Amino acid sequence: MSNRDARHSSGGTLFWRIWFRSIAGKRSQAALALTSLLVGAALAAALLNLHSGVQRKMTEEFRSYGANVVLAPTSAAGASESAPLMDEAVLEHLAAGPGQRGGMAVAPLLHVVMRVSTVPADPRLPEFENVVAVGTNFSVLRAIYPSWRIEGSMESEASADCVIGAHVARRLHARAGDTIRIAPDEAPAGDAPGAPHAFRIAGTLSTGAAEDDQVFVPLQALQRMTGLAGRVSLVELNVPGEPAEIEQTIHALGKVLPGVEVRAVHSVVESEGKVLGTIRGLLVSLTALIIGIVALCMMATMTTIVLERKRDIAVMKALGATDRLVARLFLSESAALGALGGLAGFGLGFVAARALGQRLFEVAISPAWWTLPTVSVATAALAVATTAVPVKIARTVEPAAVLKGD
Amino acid sequence: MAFIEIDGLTKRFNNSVAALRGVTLSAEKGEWLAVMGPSGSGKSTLLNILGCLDSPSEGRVAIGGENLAELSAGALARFRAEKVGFVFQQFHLVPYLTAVENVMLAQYFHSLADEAEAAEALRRVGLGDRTDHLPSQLSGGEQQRVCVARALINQPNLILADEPTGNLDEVNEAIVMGLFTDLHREGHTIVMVTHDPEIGRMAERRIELHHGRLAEVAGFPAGEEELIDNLLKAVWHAREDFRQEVVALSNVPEFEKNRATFLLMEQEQLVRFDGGAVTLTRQGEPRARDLIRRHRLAERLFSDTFGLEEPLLDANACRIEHTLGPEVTEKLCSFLDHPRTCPHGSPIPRGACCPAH
Repeated sequence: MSNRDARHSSGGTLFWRIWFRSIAGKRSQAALALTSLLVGAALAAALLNLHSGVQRKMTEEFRSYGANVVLAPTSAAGASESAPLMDEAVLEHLAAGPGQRGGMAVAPLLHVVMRVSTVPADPRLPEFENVVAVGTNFSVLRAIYPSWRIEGSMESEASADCVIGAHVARRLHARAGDTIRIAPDEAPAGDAPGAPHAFRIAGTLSTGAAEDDQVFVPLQALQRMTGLAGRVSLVELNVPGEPAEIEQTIHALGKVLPGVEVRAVHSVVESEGKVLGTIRGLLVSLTALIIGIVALCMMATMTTIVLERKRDIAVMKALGATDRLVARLFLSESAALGALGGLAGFGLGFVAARALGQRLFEVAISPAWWTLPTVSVATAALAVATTAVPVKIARTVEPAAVLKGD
Repeated sequence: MAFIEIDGLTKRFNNSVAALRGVTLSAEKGEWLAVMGPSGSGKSTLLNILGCLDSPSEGRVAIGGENLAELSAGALARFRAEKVGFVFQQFHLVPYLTAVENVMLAQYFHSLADEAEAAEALRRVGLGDRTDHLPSQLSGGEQQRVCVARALINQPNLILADEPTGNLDEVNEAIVMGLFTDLHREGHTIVMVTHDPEIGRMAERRIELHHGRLAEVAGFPAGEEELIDNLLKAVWHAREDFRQEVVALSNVPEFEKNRATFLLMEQEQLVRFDGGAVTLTRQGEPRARDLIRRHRLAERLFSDTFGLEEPLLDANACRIEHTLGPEVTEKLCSFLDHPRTCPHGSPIPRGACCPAH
C-alpha cells in the first residue's frame, strides 16, 4: 500500500488544497493581510502613476520656459570675426545626429546690429536707430518660447515680414502693418555693403527681456543683407526629456559638433531637475513609508497565523514534513496574497491616481503599464520577505513540546 | 538484533530534570509493547524519542538497525514519514482538512498522495462514508479512527500510540483497540502508552516506568491465562443457558469488566465478535469444552467421593481444574464411571475415554 509507484498522485492538488483551506480557515487574518497588501499596492500604484503623469506634465511645463540647450561657436572658431559666428551646416548635423528625437525644436539665430528706420521716414525721429536684428525662423522660435506675447501675427513667414520688439516699436512709433527699412550698420570687411531692405511689421513682441529691443527677420534675408550667408551666431534647442536625458543629448552633440560649444541653459535644466527631484523624492519617501507600514502589518498578521497554526505545524512535522516544506506552505500563501493584493491594488491605485492627478495637478493620468508588473511583483516579494520572520518561528516549532501541551 | 534497541537512555530537560534515567530495553519486530506508569514517569518522553520528535541526552536508541543519533534533521523527518505512525490521545487532526485529506497528508509527506488509497484506509477503519467530513463533524471515536488510518496509510514498521483510547467511550475504545489488534496481527510493531491496565493487558509485554526508571518488565502474567480460561467458561455457560451457539454480549456479564481481555482472546482467535455477539472459534471451542469437562469432573469428584457441598464444591473445583492434565482427566472420568452431569445437573462434555452410549 505504501508503494510510491503504485500511488496515483494527488500530491500537487493536495498542496493547493491545504493552501486554500488554510487561508479559508483563517479568513479574518487572511483578509487583514490581503487588505494591508492591497492598500499598500494601491498607494504605491497611485504614487507611481501620479509620478509618471506629473513628471510628463512638469516636463511639458518646463519646455514652455524656452530653450534648454544652446549651440554657440567656440571663441577659436570665431576669432576672425567681430562677433563669433559658426557655420549653418551645424543644422544638418542636428537633423541627422545624435539626440535628434521627435519633438526637439531647433532655432538658428544670427545677431547683427542694423540700422532701422521707418517707411516713410518720420520727421520726429532720428534718421535711423541702431537695433539688434535677429535672423531666424520665427515660427520655430515662437514654438520654443510659447509664453512670448505677440500682437499681430506672422502667419505667412514671408521673407518681407518681420517682428519687432515692443521697445523698438515704441521708439519708432511703429505697429503691426507698418513698414520699416533695415540696413547694415557697416559692411563686412572686403564686401560691399548690402542694400537696405524694407520689411512689413507682422507683429510686435513683448517678452519683458532683451527681445523687446530686437527686430526678428527671416534668417536668409538677414544673411543676404549682411553678406553672412551660411553663418549663424547660435542655435537654440528645446530638447525634450528629463534633465538626465538632456545632459545625455548635450554630451552626444558635443562629440559630433567640433568647434561648437554645446551648453545647457542651466536655469531651465536645473530648475526642472530640482522640481522633478523634489517630487520624486517626496513620492519615493511616501512609498517607502507605506511599504514599511505594510511590511510591519503583514509581518504581524503572518506571525499571528503561524502562532495560531502552531499545533498544525507540529502535527505536520510529526508526520514527516520538513522545515522547508512547512516554509514553502507559508511562503506560497504570502506570495499569492501579495500577487492578489498587487493586482487589485494596481487597479484601485490607478483610479486614485487619475482622480488626484486631475484634482491636484490638472493632468489626465494615463496608465503607466510598467507599474502593473512592478507593483504586483513587488507586493508579492514584499509579502514573501515579510513572512521570513513567521517562517523562522514555524521552523522552531518542536512537535514534542507543542503536542504535549494539549 | 532486536527491532527496537534502547541502551542507557537518559533524557534531561533544561539540563536538570531527568524524565528518563538509564532506561535499557529492546523489542522485537511485530511485538506489542505497553508502556505504563503514573503521570510524569517519562512514558510520553520515551514515545517521543522513539518517534524522533525528541532526542536523548544520553544513551543510544536504534530502530530497525538505525541509530537515531546519527540521523540529520532531514533524515529524522524522512524516518518519521516512512517508518513511524503516530496515534495521539488528542487525535491531532488538521482541523481545516477533511478526513481523507488528513490521511493524504501523511502520504504527501511520505511520497505521493493518493486519494483513492486514503479513502480505502478510511473504509478499513469503518469511515468509508465520512471521507469528506471535517474533524469537527466527527465524533471523538471517529476522529481517532481517522488518526489510526493516517498512522497506517504508509504501512510503517512502528506504530506509536499515546493513550489512544484516553478520550474515548467504551464502544469506541473497543473499536479502536480492535484496529490495533488487527495492526498487530499484520506484523506492525506497536508501542502504546496507556494508564488503563485493561488496555495494557492486550499487549504482549508491559513495561512500567517510575520516575523515569524502568520498574518492571512483564510478559503475560500467570493469571492472564487463568482469566482467559474463566472467560471461555463464561461464554460456554451463556451458550448453555440460552441454548444458542452465538451469544449476545449482553448475556455474558463478564464482558463489560474484561473488554480488553476479550479483545485479546479475539486476537488469539479463541472467540469471534460479530455485531454485538460472541462465538467460540475452532480453537476456542475445544479449549472451553476441556475446561468445562475438567471443572465438572472435579466437582463430581468432590461431591461423590468427599461429600462436599456448595460453596466449597465450586471453589475447590476451580482450584484443581487447571492442574489436571489430559491423562489425569481421563483417569478421573473412568474412576467416576464417566458421569454425564455435574452435581448441579449440567452436562459434562464427553471425552475420548467415554463410551459411545
